Amino acid sequence: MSIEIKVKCFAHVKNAIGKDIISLKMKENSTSDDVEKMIRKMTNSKLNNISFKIAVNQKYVSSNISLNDGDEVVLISPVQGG
Amino acid sequence: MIQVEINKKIITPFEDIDFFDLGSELVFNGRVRNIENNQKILGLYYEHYEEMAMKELIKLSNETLDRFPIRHLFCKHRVGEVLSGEVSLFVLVSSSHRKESFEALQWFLTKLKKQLPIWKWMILENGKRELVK
Amino acid sequence: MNISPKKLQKLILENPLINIIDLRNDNQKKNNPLKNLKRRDISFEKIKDSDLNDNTILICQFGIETEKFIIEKKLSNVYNLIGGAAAWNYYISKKEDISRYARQLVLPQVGEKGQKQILESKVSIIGLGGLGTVVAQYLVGAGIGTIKLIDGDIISLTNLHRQPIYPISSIGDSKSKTLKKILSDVNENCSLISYDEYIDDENISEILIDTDIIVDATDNINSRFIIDRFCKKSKIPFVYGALYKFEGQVAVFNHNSGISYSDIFSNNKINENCNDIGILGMLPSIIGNIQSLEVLKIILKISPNLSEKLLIYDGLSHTMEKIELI
Repeated sequence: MSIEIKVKCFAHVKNAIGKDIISLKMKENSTSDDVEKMIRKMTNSKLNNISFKIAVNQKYVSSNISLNDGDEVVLISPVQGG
Repeated sequence: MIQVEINKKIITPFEDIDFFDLGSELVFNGRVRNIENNQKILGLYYEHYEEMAMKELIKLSNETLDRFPIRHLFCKHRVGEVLSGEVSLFVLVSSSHRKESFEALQWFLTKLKKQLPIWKWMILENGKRELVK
Repeated sequence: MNISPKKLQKLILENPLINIIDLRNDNQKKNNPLKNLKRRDISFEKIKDSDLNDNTILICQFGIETEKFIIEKKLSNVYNLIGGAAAWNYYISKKEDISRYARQLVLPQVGEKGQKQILESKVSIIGLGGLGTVVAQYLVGAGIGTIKLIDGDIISLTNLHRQPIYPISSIGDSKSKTLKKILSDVNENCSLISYDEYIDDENISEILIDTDIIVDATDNINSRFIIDRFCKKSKIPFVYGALYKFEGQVAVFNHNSGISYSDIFSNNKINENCNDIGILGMLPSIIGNIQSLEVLKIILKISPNLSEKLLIYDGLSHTMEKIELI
């Protein structure tokens, strides 16, 4: 069984991937860390020097969590609001 | 109480505030510089994760109200294309006395810059853009 | 497709009727109006497919919103201006944008190199009456980088027949300040400095500090001697102009240490001027333009010129006489 994860891309990630939003087909019980690994792999070494905070369904997750089908995941590169 | 906004509209300080309180009223205006990362810029483009940015701002504003004895916090963060010299962030904090306003504002701004999913792009003189380092 | 401000400037010169649309909101347009660009003002909300044709150029504040718009709507043949209005205005404000001088650059005596020399030049115009207003207008048009406008006089009704640049509303106002205000709208490349005073031997060095060429647009011999003394001392060329009824004179003195005004004219202590003798407005306009032309010849080192020559023009017979002064 696979799950579909919606990944919204911003800033450095968007630069590297070239799209606003992508859909990832992943194995059941995939985790937020798995999404990060997958994105890093997809973008070769473009995101090597960047550390991410991960948000699932618009909330920061402080540690690795399991994902469900239809979850929205965003890799948040260093922010500069204000 | 809190009143927060994130949108592309030009910020006119004090406009659209639903309330004014008595006592100390502390205002912060963040105006876009014309230099960033040692390069001259025409302005900044603020990219944001729309749904989450608003949630985080509300959360942070409520947290500030809980942490400090302030009465009201009003915050407008502008996103999109902002020219140098225009205001991108406006914050108003009111409390009975100024001590708590200063402390609350300082804490709020520090947290805001770390937490809100908002990114800055510099618009260089030649029109090209780069993420601010 | 993205284009730069420089490329847009080129496209406009090739096709002045090109379709350019500013999609910003009213506030953005008001705070940062597009400079020197003919375009249609619409908005993102109001733009229709029928507004877009092949080779339309879309403009927003930084070129980011329009880029997104073009991608989302899958518009081909519509260009996005990189950096938007902000980058365009910056490009226009830089002195390096010399495309407005395209028609004079073509001349072999000018070229891009010559235009840059013109933009770097500093010219002082003493007297802002019939001669001075014409010299100022055409030097601003040509792209002189810095122009000092010097005259202590105010505008009066009887000036207007030969100084038609001054509007009726300016009667009573300072000539230098008024002229500066009017010409500031003509060419952003030109820095205009006004001096609301009459020159004399005391103030002249201070006022004319850092000038390459001085244009005499005064109406009296005394001032010319003051200017001549200064020019001899500082070795600055002096473009002389004078009027008498239907006649006018132009000469270039002190150029490359050449002959000076006082070598030719003695101090007759004549104090007549146009007010007493009479003149038609066209005469100062003709003579002022000959002076302006000589200014450019000095800057661009064009020969032949009026250095060490006196040109006499007769507006009645339309004859010109050139007298060698050495």
